[in-house]
This record gives sequence, C-alpha cells and structure tokens, in this order.
Amino acid sequence: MTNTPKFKMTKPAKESVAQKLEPGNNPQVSLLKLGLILFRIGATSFGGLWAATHKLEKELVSKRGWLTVDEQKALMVAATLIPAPKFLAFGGMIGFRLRKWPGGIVALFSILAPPGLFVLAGAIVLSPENLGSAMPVLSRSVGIGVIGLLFGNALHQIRNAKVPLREWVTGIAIGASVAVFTIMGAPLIVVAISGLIIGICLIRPKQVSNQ
Amino acid sequence: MTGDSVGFLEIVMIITFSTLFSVGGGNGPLAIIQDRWVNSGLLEPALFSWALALGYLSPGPKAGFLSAIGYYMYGLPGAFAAMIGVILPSLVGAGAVSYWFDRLQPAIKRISLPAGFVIAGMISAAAWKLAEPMALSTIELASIIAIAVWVVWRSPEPAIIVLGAAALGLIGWIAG
Repeated sequence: MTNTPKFKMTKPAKESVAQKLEPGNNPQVSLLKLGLILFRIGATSFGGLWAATHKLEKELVSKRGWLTVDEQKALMVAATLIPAPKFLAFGGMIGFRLRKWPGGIVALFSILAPPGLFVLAGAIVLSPENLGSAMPVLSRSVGIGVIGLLFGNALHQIRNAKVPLREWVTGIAIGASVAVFTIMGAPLIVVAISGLIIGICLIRPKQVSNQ
Repeated sequence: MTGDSVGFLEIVMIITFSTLFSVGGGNGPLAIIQDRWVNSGLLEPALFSWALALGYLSPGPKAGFLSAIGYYMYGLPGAFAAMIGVILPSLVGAGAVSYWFDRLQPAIKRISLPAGFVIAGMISAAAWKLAEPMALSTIELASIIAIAVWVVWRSPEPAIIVLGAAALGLIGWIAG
C-alpha cells in the first residue's frame, strides 16, 4: 500500500483515519472488526437506511473515522443505484471500500444476520394466531415511531448542510421537490438523479462559504 | 405451510431476481414474491403478511423478512437460500459501484453538496408513504412531530424509539 492517499479530503468531520485509508485492502481494519461493527449496526438500527442515517454518521464517521460525512452522503446516494436493498448496498460498499471483495462479503453477511435471525426466530416461534389482535396495535405503534424517526433524520440532514443561506433555501426546495415527486409516484431513482443534477448546477462548491 | 415443489436453488433464484427490482428502494421484491409464490398458492397470504410484519419490527435491513419467506418455503435451508439470494446481487452491485466510486471522486464531491437535501427529500417521501395509509389521529401526528424534534435535538438511539413505541403499543393493547 502506498503512503499517498487517493482521497483528498476537503473537510473531514474530525481528525479521521479515513484520510489514511485507501479504498480497499486496509490492514488497519480487520475483517473481524468490520464484521462486528456492521453486525452491531444491523442489530441496533431500526427503520431502514434512512432512519439509521444519524446513527451511521456517529458510528462510521465520528467514532470509527472510516468515512467522511461527504463520503457517507455520496455512498447513501450511490446505494440507490444498486439493484438491492439500500441498507445492504450501503453496507456492502463500506466493506468493499475497506477490504474489497472479502470486506464486501463479510459486511453483507454481518449487517443482514441480525434481522435475518430475528425474523427467522419469530417465524419459528410465533405465528399470527399466537399474537392475534396484538399484532395490528403493535405494528401501528412501531410504525408511528419509525415515521417520527424518519422525519427527524430528514431534518437532521437539512440542519447539517453547511452551505450559505441562499444555497440552503435552494437545497430545501430541491429536497421538497424530490419528496413531492416521489410521493406522487415518480420512480425514486429518476427523481434522485434529477435532484442531484439540479443541485449540482445550483449549489456549486465556489458558492459555499469557507467553513 | 407451503408446497413441496420449491427447492433451495429456486429460492435463491427467485429472491435474487426479485432483489433486482429494489433499485432505488420500493417494493419490487414483494411484488415478485407475491406473484410467484402467494398468488400460485405455494405460500399462504397470512404467512406472507406475518413475515413482513416481523421484518418491520426487526432491526437492520428490512430484507431480513426474506429469511421467514425462505423458512416457510423450504425450512431452515430455505431461510439460508433466501439470505444468499439477497446478498448475491447486493455484493455484485456494491462491488461494481464501489469500483467506479473510487474513480469518480471529483464528481462525488460535487454531488455531496446537494446530496444531503436530496436524501432529506427521499427520507421524507419514505416517511410519508408509511404514514399515508395509516389515517393518523391528531395524537399520533403530535407523537410523530415530538419524536422528530427529539431526534433532531437529542439524537436518541433509534432502537429506544422503536422499542419504546412497541412497549406503548403493547400497554395500549393490554389496557384496551
């Protein structure tokens, strides 16, 4: 491995080992550690990739320094391009970036193991007949919690955008448009790419203030 | 539970095929599984719904519900087959996109500026789509707003929110 980093980070969230990491084959991150961290993420994140945004930022950016905030955002968007569940695609890319194919395999199995085992245990032990009328009530209350979590994470994304006021307002307009078109039934991938293209044109790096 | 005509390999193939319809999220796998196994009578609709509910209550990627589908179709080997089926396209896709990702760093930097806003829009749409069919009451709407504000201000563990909501639901069910 060369000492010259392939990434030139403009603004790491904090002093980060991500600056020292190359895209793959990083001996600093063992497969065991990668597996354990992603297993923990899989076991403690609820509501899907979007709901876990803040948690992923804390674990992968702030605590581990495996990514910068910008890289995390870019990977989350890139995950929507992969024909697979977004959370899995994101986890696979984390593993691939750190340890290439072995990392990708370990990451995917690790992040999928907690929900897979939980659901399997539920399927073996419980049945709809066992829970009866409790199930709809439980699903509804959990659903309300997840919806609140999702909206909270959306607000967190907007709050953390480090751009001048004018670009910030433009960004909110773009985000709102993405939400509206998606709700209206437009394909998510088309809406996301369109939003990104418009955003790239209207929110340029030169316009971003020194942070 | 299910018919005997579905084997390990078919589960891997169907789940892999259905996963390909997950581009950008959405319910592609559900539609494929429903079409191939539920509508054909190989999987009981109640078990299909139960698997989805378990996936919703479980932590991590929602694709975990596929392990229950695989289990209902072919026992424990079926559950493993389902996991293989969802991991295969995820691995190939993640590898391919990561390969190009490393060569597109300048473009990625440009993307990362508006990406937060686009992601916020996508998250909001996902939340809206979950809420829309629920016909929420005023108290439930207020609860959602309170949780959202709590998340922004205090960054609580998502598990606390979900398990707390489940506990409140259970209490409400017992009391009601």
